[in-house]
Amino acid sequence: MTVNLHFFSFPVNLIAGLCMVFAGWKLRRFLSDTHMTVALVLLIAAVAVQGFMPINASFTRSWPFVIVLVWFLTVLASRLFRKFSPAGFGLWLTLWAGMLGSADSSITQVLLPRDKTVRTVLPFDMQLEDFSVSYYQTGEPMEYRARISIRDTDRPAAVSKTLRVNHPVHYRGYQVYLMDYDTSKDHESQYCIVMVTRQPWRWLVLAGILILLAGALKTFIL
Amino acid sequence: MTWEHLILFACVAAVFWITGSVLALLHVKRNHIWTIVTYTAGIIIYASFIGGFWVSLQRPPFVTMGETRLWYSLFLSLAGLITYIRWKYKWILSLTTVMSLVFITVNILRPEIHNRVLMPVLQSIWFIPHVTVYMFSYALLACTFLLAIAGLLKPSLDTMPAIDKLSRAGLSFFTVGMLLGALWAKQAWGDFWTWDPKETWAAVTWLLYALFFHLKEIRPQAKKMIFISLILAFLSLQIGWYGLQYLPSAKGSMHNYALIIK
Repeated sequence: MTVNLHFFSFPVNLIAGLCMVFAGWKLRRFLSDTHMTVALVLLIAAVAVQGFMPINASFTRSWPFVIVLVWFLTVLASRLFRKFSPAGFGLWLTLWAGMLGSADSSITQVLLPRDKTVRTVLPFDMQLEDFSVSYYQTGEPMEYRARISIRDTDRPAAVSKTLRVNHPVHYRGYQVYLMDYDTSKDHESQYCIVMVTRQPWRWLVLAGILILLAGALKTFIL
Repeated sequence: MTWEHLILFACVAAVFWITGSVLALLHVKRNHIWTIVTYTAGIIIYASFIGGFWVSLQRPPFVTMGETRLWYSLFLSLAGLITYIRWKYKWILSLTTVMSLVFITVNILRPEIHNRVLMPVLQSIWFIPHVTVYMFSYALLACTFLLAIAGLLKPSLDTMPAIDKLSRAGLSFFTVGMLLGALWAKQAWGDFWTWDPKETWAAVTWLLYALFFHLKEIRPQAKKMIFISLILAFLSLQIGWYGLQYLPSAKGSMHNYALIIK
């Protein structure tokens, strides 16, 4: 039942997305507010199903969920063609770009040993240079800090970057996050685990979020 | 100022709040201004506890469940006061007072504070706006819930204008809280949205409020249906806020800061 995301990678996702817009335009006279109500209730039900399931059930990646979401976005698009609203458009863009973009996104977790470069599928190599943890007086962790060096596979020069929680490193369209380390060894940890993400559609999602944010503030002020 | 002082401040604030609520219910014209003064005094006393607690804690008091309840009671009484001043429903203050006091009592009986210091993931500029904005929206939406119940029980009462204004403000704040969370999540966890249970229930809640606004626009006569959609949305909000911990889906939630303790 799970959607094969690989099949929908660029440009299939863009074509499918444009088809949704086109369908919304074509159906703008046929679809009514009642259709919007039904689509909204269906989406609420679908999200609530995920709400009662464990996270790893990944209902949101299954066909039933995706079909409901696609229908909702088509109906919403047709409503926006009839009656435009900034908040509605922001919501539409966020969900549309978020859903389609997930087919082009990649998340890679990499274990970086100290003083040893690892090869990955990524176009660059990484290595852990130094790792440190600082603590509060109560003994609880205050900060994790990992210094890593990144080197392009086709270039000899390496750059040194510091990774902290909440402070990812941006490198050539990738984002590198500090995830984990050998907790039994503290400063002596011989490795750290980083998560490397790539989300080419994130600027569209971000634009949608900002439009929705502006729409929400406008509703409040007016 | 520590958590032990809460009971003292809460009792004094409660006296003011209850006096204000009773004054509002009495049919004397001059009471209006005294109600506002008394109720405001209660809010200031309660807020000064939170302020003092924040200073003594040396970190923002937004981390544990108990601390979020602290803010909820404050914002709820504030939202009640605003509703009273703006729409003059004389019974709204009694309801917000009772609700605030319920949450304060829970805090006194089951503090759920662990004097946790701020863990690395919460050290972010997004942290304070994300939580305060949410708590304020919860309080406004609680007011609309009370108004919806009142509207269902007594159809002659015209609560719709107040519901309209409060739910607009409430859902705006809710949306802002959610989107600030999404921007923060990209920075901390690598993605805007990961269907973490708390996110999923926020989505259900948001969509239910969207349904409420939609119904209100297309079927303004179907008051009963509109009230029910508002009540459902509020119940979903409660699941997302604290009901979640009793669901199997909450295991592995990345929002469980207060639960991962020894």
